[in-house]
Amino acid sequence: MSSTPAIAADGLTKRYGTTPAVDGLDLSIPRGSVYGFLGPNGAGKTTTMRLLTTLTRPTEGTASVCGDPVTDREAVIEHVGYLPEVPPVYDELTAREGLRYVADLRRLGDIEEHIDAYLERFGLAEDADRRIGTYSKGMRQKTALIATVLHDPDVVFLDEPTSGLDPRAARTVRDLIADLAAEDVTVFLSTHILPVVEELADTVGVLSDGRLLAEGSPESLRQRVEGGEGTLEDAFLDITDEWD
Amino acid sequence: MGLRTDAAVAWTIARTETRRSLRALLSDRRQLAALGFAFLGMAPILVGTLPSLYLTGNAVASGEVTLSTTVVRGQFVTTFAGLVGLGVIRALERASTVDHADYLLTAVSPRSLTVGLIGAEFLRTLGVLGPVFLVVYGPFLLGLGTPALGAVAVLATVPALAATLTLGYALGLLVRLAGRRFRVTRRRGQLLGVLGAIVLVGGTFVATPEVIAFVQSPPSVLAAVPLAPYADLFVLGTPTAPPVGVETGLGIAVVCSLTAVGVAASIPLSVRLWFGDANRRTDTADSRETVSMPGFLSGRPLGRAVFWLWLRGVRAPTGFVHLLYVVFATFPALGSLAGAEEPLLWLPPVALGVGALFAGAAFGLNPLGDEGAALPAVVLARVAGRTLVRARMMAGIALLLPPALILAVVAGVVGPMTLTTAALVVAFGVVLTGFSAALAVGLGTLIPNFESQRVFGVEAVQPTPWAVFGHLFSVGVAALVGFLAIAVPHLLDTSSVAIRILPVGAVSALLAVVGFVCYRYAIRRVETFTYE
Repeated sequence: MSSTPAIAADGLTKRYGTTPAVDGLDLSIPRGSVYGFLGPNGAGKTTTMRLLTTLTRPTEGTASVCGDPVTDREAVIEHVGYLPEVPPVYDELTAREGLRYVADLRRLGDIEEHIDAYLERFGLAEDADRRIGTYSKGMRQKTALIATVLHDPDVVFLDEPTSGLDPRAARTVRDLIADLAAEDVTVFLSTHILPVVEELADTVGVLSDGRLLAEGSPESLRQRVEGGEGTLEDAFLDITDEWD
Repeated sequence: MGLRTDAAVAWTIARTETRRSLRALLSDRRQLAALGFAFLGMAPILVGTLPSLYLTGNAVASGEVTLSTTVVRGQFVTTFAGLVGLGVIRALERASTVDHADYLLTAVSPRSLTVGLIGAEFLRTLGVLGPVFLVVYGPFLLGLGTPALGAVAVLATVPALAATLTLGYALGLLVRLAGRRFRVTRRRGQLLGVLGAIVLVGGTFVATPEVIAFVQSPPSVLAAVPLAPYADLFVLGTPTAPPVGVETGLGIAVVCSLTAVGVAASIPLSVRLWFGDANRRTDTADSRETVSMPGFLSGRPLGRAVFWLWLRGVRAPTGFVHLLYVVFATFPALGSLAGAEEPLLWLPPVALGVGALFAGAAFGLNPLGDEGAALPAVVLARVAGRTLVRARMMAGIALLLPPALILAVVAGVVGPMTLTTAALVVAFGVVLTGFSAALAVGLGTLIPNFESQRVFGVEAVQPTPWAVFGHLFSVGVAALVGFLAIAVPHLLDTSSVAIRILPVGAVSALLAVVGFVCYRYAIRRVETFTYE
């Protein structure tokens, strides 16, 4: 396994005018791990993801994905898959067509079997030839998730992947994340649903007002509260309270 | 809820909705730009018309011109019907719906909501048409020497406008309910509306003389319609005005009754519309779709990308609503072609010019915004810039250049054009199409739009007006200059082929250079796109 971290950031900063959205972020996330990225609304989580996926330019600092700097989009996009909060799907295409389109964009060649396997795995095979515009929120999210991992990326950025999903769909997503980690894929997971992080994350980072307030294993963060008797939610509230 | 409470709630809704519309307009640079363009377009016409309105008033006062009661009444009925039509369109477009309807319908009575929405529409229309009415009618009254009659005219306008809008509103609701009855989905309804607008505007353009004749001298039977005598209020004080009497009173009664009928009909119709089941795409086995990619496209990445754009376009045609601007802009050229003595002489340049405009405008004017929520996935795909930009150029060119070429070649061979001229026209048409497509992606990536907006009643992500009109203007000028560069040496009867090729060659070379710069810029812009 390469010693280069999957994701590294050094003083990564993004300002909009004079307002900092991300402020001096330092990260070093090893390959094959799941990094739970927590923070209140407006903390800068999505901006961080956009910085790390080259979709936003940093104001200061550096960052790299699999050793490639985030200023080199051509190199970085070979490694990443990014699922934004709003599922990136085309309502007017069917799921199968949408995934073929993504495969074409990424020049993946004939991966029909790969697509079928994912559709089957996510319980979408029956509906794969219906337009995505007719899908439920969960089905749209699952389609988008397949599109995100279709090219077998090394690092996957997931922004609220289980938000609004029913328990069964959320379980499918959690299983996929666990499987990705088992396949040495690094998962950068932003979510408000703390039990998901508690279950899956190797490391948790808590961001507030663009600054990384705490970082460690879920267990180590829990230890910070009430003698280790609290939950990750208690730890999150405690850390963000301290900062406020 | 009692009548008084409902009236108060309706007034609150009307005021709030009007304020929201005003704020939305003032904060929407796109609409402000469109209004600015409209004003700039109308201002010269208005400036030219005002003195003649004043002089007409003068002439009427001196008895030089007599206003025919039959004509004025007929014109009033025509205007009334036109405004009812406007009310129908507005009700179909948006006036009969309201944001957060679920909340409002559980908070207030349908009666107050309906009356509030009609009231808002009345205030909005008054805000738009009122100044126009004053600008047109004011000089006439000044010329007549009775400006005080303006107050009477304003007082007469308010009930007439209320009657037209409420009737239009009720009829619009009926049309929407009929659409539901016949299972017309919202998208199909929007498409029908767009096609209707093209037919209406195109028809008006083609039949302009007939329309003017109808407006100037409407059929006398219209003067016999019961509401027609209401028109007498607008010509009070003129030498030949009919006396205000029972007939006028009947006209007033009819207009006021129509308002009451419109409101009374709108309330139950609104209830049926809001509380009924809307037509939706059904999730049955029939809705499954499998489309095979044609063999000639599937072989190459560019072909595949073009196919996906075409497929998305066919399934979401509302994304092309900005082409209505192009359609309307080409009516003069098409009208000239239709009225030309030798249409085959004009067909090649018109076909190639119009084809070039659409080839660029169809897919190229908003490459980034058109990708919607999927933009991050597209931008992060390998060679995204080249794939996206080339596909958007080729999707339009492949669709529109072949038919334009066929028309131009056939007309060039069969028509009166010499073969050399026809060949130059066709060659320049090809260059112009490439330029149009490249310019479109350049402009579209320079000033993208990501927000869904309502254009001609259709809600979709559309190119910015700057991109649409900039492209329209640039390609229009390029076409004019290029075809003139072919026509002028031809008219000068130059026999030297070199002299005939040189001017159009120079124009083509310039377009090629500008087009290439636009193309490269678009690729660079997509490949380096960031959310800032």
